[in-house]
Formats: sequence, structure tokens, C-alpha cells
Amino acid sequence: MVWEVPISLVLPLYFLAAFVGIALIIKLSKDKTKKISNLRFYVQILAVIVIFMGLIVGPFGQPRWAPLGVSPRDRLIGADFLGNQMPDGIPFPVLACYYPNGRTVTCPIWQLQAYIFPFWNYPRGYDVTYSTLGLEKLGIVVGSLVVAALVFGRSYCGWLCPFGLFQDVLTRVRKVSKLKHRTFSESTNKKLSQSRYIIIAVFLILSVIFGAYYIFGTEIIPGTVAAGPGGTEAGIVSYINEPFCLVCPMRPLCSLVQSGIGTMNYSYISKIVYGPFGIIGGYISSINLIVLTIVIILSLVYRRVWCRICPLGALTGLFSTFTPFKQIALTKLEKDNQKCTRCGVCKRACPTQATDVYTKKGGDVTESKCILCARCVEICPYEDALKIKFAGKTLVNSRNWLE
Amino acid sequence: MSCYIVLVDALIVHNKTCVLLLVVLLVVLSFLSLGTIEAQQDVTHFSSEDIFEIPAVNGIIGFSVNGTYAEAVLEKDTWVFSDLSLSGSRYSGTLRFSAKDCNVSIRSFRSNALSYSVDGVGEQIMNLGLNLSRTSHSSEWYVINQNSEFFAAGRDWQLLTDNTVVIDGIVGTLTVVHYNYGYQVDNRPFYMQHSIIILTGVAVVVTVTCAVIIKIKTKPRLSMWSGKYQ
Repeated sequence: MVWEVPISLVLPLYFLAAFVGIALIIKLSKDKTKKISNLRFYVQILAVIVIFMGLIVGPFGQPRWAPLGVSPRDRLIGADFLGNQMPDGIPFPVLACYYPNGRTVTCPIWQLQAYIFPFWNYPRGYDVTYSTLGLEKLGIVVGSLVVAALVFGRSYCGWLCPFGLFQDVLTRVRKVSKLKHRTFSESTNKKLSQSRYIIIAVFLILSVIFGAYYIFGTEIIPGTVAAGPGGTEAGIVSYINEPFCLVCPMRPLCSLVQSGIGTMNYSYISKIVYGPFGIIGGYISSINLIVLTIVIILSLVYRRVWCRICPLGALTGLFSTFTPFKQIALTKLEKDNQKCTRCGVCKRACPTQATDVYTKKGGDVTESKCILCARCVEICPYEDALKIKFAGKTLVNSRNWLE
Repeated sequence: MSCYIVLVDALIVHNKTCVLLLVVLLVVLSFLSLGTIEAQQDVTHFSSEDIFEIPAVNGIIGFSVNGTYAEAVLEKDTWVFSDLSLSGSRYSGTLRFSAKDCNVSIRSFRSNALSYSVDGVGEQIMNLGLNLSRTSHSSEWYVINQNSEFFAAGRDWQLLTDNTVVIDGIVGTLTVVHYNYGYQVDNRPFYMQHSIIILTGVAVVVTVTCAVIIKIKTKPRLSMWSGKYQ
């Protein structure tokens, strides 16, 4: 017999542990230039626990370490909460996969690719029957992203994204190894930043191409007709489904974590890399692994290297740092030009090499590259020169730590 | 893994008290994330050598792995295994299985799925003991073989009103899965059927409205007296 710790006990204890941990870090961190970074690191870990281990939403009442099944979808707890309106889960702007297994949040990039055909309602396979229209699902994804981005900007990337944590861990490994980091030239960094939007365009176009059979009645790429009963096994997305997910470096990590904690069937990792060029994997493709390897190597040299080209970060940035969203975004990085001495420490400390914080004369210096990690704020030695504000109220401001 | 790296990092960066407290917190969080604690109870162990015969219908049920059950009873040509748990699985539940004119070897069992191999063209009748308060719909079920071929409901297998699945004439390794994604004929009012998009729309409107109001309220104003922004 297996019995579970009741949620009524888990939730308060979790919040207590989280609160005490945060309080302790704030209180005990002696290095004033690391206080926010340490706090952020702790919050990132808490976020990973919530996202992957489902501490908040499950897997209560679900069997764990279950034997093989036919799909990792069998832990789709989102369906229990959201019914068949959004059984895939509510989009949340962190790279945590479509299968943050059985959780109620899902990577919006996956959803955008899957729901790109707004006027055609299709089954998703494995009997995920939507009650919602295609356009409705797309509206929920975009609407959720807009709300999330308007409220907290790209702080999800800086504070919650599991892949951000992974890169930060690699950065710490580099520091422990006493290796020096390198920086991209400004023009390269700008091009990388711009490439994010090209990546978004490419994967959305590819989604249409892969789903051509269902839109135009003919395949553009052979082998993209879905299998299963009534052609519904994978619905419109077929075996070469969600093109971005085939290259996403987070996918292997998600699979590893989820398999490790028993919320995902490990056979979906063991079945990897088969089919032409190994791109048609049971869950992970060889491209995923290659991209992850490249990112790992680069992360030991550059800080937050993936964040510079991350399409999800680009979308969150789009809805928070570009007009008209920029005008009303609630979370902002602000600079007081009169207090800034242009020492450039903020520019050097920024993990994504955002430059507006240094080059702009003052006011709102949030840009699409800024992940609101507050590293510039904590490292700035001039009182109130930099601030992160939420709804006009200062959340954190730079302090004179030299004294 | 990342927790350990944090600890290593904490050891380097922080003082000992902070490290100690972080260790305690991480242990608590790890415990919470595990979420399940196993309790002991009296069970009967069986091995892959044991067989459960149904002489009246010429059927034999076996298991390809070891496991335990609280009780196994033959009722109306159906073996009822209470608290059945197979090796490698932490799930235990009640399985009702009958095999007619065939030998069956059960490979895995969990709350919503059963996998088994069939030797001989016969009939298998199974009830996974789903925790459902309703009669499931056949489209909620999948019967798949080792080649990922799906078998059709109504032709290759039948679903009874008590959520029992009857499979007839299929040989090989079969997996029977039930997906409970809240499939139902939705007779609720429109606003309930589409509540999430409505809530999302409301959230967008409220967020934008609040953001605009905050923007107007926090906009720097020019002082009448000094000519400077306040």
C-alpha cells in the first residue's frame, strides 16, 4: 500500500521552507554584491521543484515509478484541472517542455506550434479531445503570454526558467574552475538577439509545412501524415512534430529530470534517436542532444548564451519591451542618469550583455535582452542609480556597497 | 543535481550556518517532493513461474515479472487480484482478468494501463479497477500491439458499461490504456465550456487597464513652481 503526504500538509510546509530560505539568504548573505544573485538562485531552484516535481499541483493521487506505458501523456494532470479546454496546460513563459509531465503549465512555444492552425480543429492523438476551438487555444496562449510579459517582463527568464538555472549552474562551474568568461562583440550580440525572431518565424513556417497534409490535402514533406486510429495519433503535427522542440536544448534535460523523479516513462528516453538522421525520436532527437552539447560548451565560456537566441524569451520580450507594450509594462529597470557615473560595471556584469542600461541616458532602460535578473542593480555601487520597479514602486535599488 | 551544486556553491560563498540551514531546507524540500511513503502490509508474493488457471474456459494467466497481491480469487471464471503490484512498479490496485482459450502473461499493470502477451487465439476480459464514477467512452481507450498498431473499438475489442474491456482474437503483446481527459458530452452553458479563454480575455483587459492607470498615475509631472519633473 502506498499513501501520500496530503497536499494540505505539503503546501504550507513548502511555502514555509521557501519563505524561511529566502529570508535566511537575505539575512545571511554577507557579500552585498551577491545578495540578489543568491536569492535568485534559490528562487530558481524552488521554481524547478514546483515545475518538475509538481509540488504544488501533484502528482497527488497519481502512481509514481509506474511501468511502461504508451505515452508520457499519462500524467497530464492539467486535464484534471482544466478539463478538455486546455488539457495540455496553461502556457507559462519558461522553457520546461510540453511535458512538464502532468503539470498544469506548458511551454508556450510548443503550444504555438501545435495550435498554429487556428481555424482547423484537430484531435491531438492519444485521445486528447479538445472542447476548445483552434483559434480559442491560440488566443489563450497569446493572451497568457501578454499578461505574463506585461506584469513581470522577462523576469521569468532570470528568475524562474529551469534552463536559465542550468546555464547559471554552468557559469558557477566555470567560476569554480577559475575560468574567465568571454563576451560577444556588441554587433554579434545584436545579431544573436535579432536572430530570435527569425527562429520564431522559421519554426512557425515549418509547423505549417509539416502540417500541410491537413491544411492543403497534400504532403510537402513526405512522411508527415499522422498515424494512429483515424490519423489521430499525433494529429496535425505528425511524427516530425513541433519543429522547434526537435532542436530545443531543454527537452533532453526535461526528460532526464522527469524520468529521474518518476513522472515520465524512461522508455521515452531509451527510445531516442531513430529514423532518418535520428531526427524522429521517441521523445528526444539527436539534434536536441547536439544543440544541448553546444550550449553546454558555450555556457562554460559565455554567460546565458542560450537566452540570447531563445525564442520564448523573444516572445516575452516582444510583449514587454516593444511599443505599445513597453509603455505600460509593469516591471521595469530604471536608471537615474544624475546618479550614474557611467563607470560601466553594469554593462560588464550583465549576463546577456544588454547595453541600454549603460548607453541610455536614463529612465526606463529595460530592453528585450534584459532578463531582469537585477545583477546590474546589485553590482552598481551608486545609491539609487539603478532600480527595478514594479507598478511604479521600487522593488530593489542599487546600494553603495563600497562603504 | 542542481541542489548539490548549490550546496557546493554555498560552501564556497556562504558561511557555515547558512550552508547548514540550506541543507536542512533542501532535505525538507526533497522529502516533500518525494511525496509518498510506503507502508507495510501482508501480501502474497508470486513469481513469473506461478500460473492462475481457469479450467472452465481453458485459460491460463501468468505474469512475466514477479509481484505481490493481497488476495487472488477465482470468481465466475475471472481471477480477481486485490492490491496487485508488479515488480518495478509502486502502483497497486485491483485487477480482474479472464482468459478464454488462450495463455496470457501479464507484463505490466498500473492505474490506467495493462500490458500482456497472448498465446493462442482466444478472448481476454479485463477490468483495471478504474477509479471512475462514470461509464467510460470507447474513444478513451486504446488497444495497441507491440508494433504500435491500434485496434478498432467495436471490431477488435468491446467496452462494457462497467468499464470492462473484452478483446477477442488478437495475439501478440497488447497494451490496453485508458486516458481520462475528462471526455464527456459537454452540455454545460457556453461560458462554462469556454471559461479559460474568457478568463484569459478578462485577465488581458484587467492587466492592460491597470497598467495604463498605473502608467498615468506614475507619470512624472512638471512642477508649476520649479519647472522640474517631480
